[in-house]
Amino acid sequence: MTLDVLTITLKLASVTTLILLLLSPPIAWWLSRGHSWSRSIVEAVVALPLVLPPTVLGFYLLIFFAPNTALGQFWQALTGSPLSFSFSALVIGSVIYSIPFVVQPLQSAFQQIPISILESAASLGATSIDRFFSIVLPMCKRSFITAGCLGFAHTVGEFGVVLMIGGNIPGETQVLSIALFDSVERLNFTEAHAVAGGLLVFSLAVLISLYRLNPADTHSSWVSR
Amino acid sequence: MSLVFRARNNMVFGAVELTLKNHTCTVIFGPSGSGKTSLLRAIAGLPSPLVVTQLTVDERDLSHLPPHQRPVVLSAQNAALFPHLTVHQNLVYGLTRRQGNISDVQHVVEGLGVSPLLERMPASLSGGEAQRVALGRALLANPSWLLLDEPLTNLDQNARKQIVKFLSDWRKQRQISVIYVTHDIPEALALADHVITLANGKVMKSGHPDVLLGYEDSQQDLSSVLSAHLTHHHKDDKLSELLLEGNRLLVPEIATNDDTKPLYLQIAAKDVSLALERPERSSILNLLPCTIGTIDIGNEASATITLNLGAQQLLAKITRRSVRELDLQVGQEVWAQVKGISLQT
Repeated sequence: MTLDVLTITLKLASVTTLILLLLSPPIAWWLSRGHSWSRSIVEAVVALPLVLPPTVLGFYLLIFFAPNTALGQFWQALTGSPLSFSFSALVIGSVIYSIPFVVQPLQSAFQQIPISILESAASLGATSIDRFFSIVLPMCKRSFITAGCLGFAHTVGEFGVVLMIGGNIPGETQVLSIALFDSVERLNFTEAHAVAGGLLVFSLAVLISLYRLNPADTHSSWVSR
Repeated sequence: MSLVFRARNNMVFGAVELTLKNHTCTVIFGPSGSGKTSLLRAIAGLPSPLVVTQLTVDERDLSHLPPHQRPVVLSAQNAALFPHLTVHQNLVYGLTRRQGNISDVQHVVEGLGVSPLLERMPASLSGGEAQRVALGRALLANPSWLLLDEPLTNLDQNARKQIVKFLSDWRKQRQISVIYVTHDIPEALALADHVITLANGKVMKSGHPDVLLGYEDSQQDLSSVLSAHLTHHHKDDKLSELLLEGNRLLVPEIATNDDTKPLYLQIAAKDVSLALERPERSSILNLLPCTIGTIDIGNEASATITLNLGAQQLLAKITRRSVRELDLQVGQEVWAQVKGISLQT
């Protein structure tokens, strides 16, 4: 096992988190404003990775990314290399796999902003973009940090999806969780211990810092967790 | 130059139509649920049960503009301060977005008495302080039409008077048009050029502030409207005790326990009789010491007396014969005996 595994894992988690932090706020915002059939469907789709075995998601993505599909051919034409078993495929898979961990904290934070505050801002002359950056974003700062950390940590910990669509190519698509699986198969328990222990400590550290950031007995009523 | 507003409400009532002149203060009066807030929200462009069919300011159509593009600022009843910004940042939020005048800040801060609060966060403010800040924030946004929905309900009488005075001077000086929703008669009388009373979403009366005093076309229905506060209930007697300009008033037990909100009393002029001395051993519970303001001897058998009771006015309708026999004079102190009070809360 090389340093590549760690680099790829961190790179994958960072790129995925960045994409999720751009993609999730509009979805979470739309979901937080009212109830309708279309919202319930989108909400269910977003939550699907929470209940679906990751291998099921990976299986469908594998089919979808194949070179003979429309997406596969489009990708080939655009970049000159196949999508399946590439780092890009891992990023797409990870974004889908981790999306509920980013959308859900944001959605509940957005729901806690009183509508009267946004209406006041509008009446005082703020456009919708301005309201987002001057009111929503600062009021939900902690939730954005929570969402980002959860998305990052969950991506580091993913296994099934990566195994199905990544192909375990060292230096290209091999990430920590799969390297661990490999080590155990090769009966290299020293290496397995290092990886497993490292992931355990990392995950625990992320969660402890999140709970420190959002203490349960929060004083300000508007802080959303 | 005016604001013209037409709307219908498919759920409750028919149409509302208003034409309000520029640079005036219109006070909207009416019981809870009469549609006052819905009216303001519709003008400001916020969701409302009213379906706006026409909204023009100086003949410019506003009905399709989003709230932030209308020359209208609405300050809602609950203050709705931005919790993550300091009082000062709240005050200038609209100013920076609507090209307000930064040199006004000092003037408004002093006028509303919020200078000690500038660095505080909204969560640490009392209800009254938050209302002052919300009012200042709306004033500094420099709207041509300012809509205020019960902006001073959490302030005590004295603070209210001061702020009403400041607001009245400010809007005249800046030529701002104001639409002001309140339950409070003295507040309304101090500010209004024009009064509209609403009930069940319909405009009942519209005109000079005197409409508040209940002048009806038919002298039969002459009544006065006063505001009082609940002090407590007398459970055994099934009565509630109110405070009206420092005087105790007993009315049939009312459902509310809220002693902060002014109660809106209507007293028919024919239910008020006068005595020169405090009547002893009378079955009438409510006796109010008043000063005679005006005596209006009409063409009929009755005369209308305006009685000053603190800052408020009570109307009495008695016979011309009684005026003569008691030798009533303007400025004279008398006791008003009130037989019937109807409450509009």
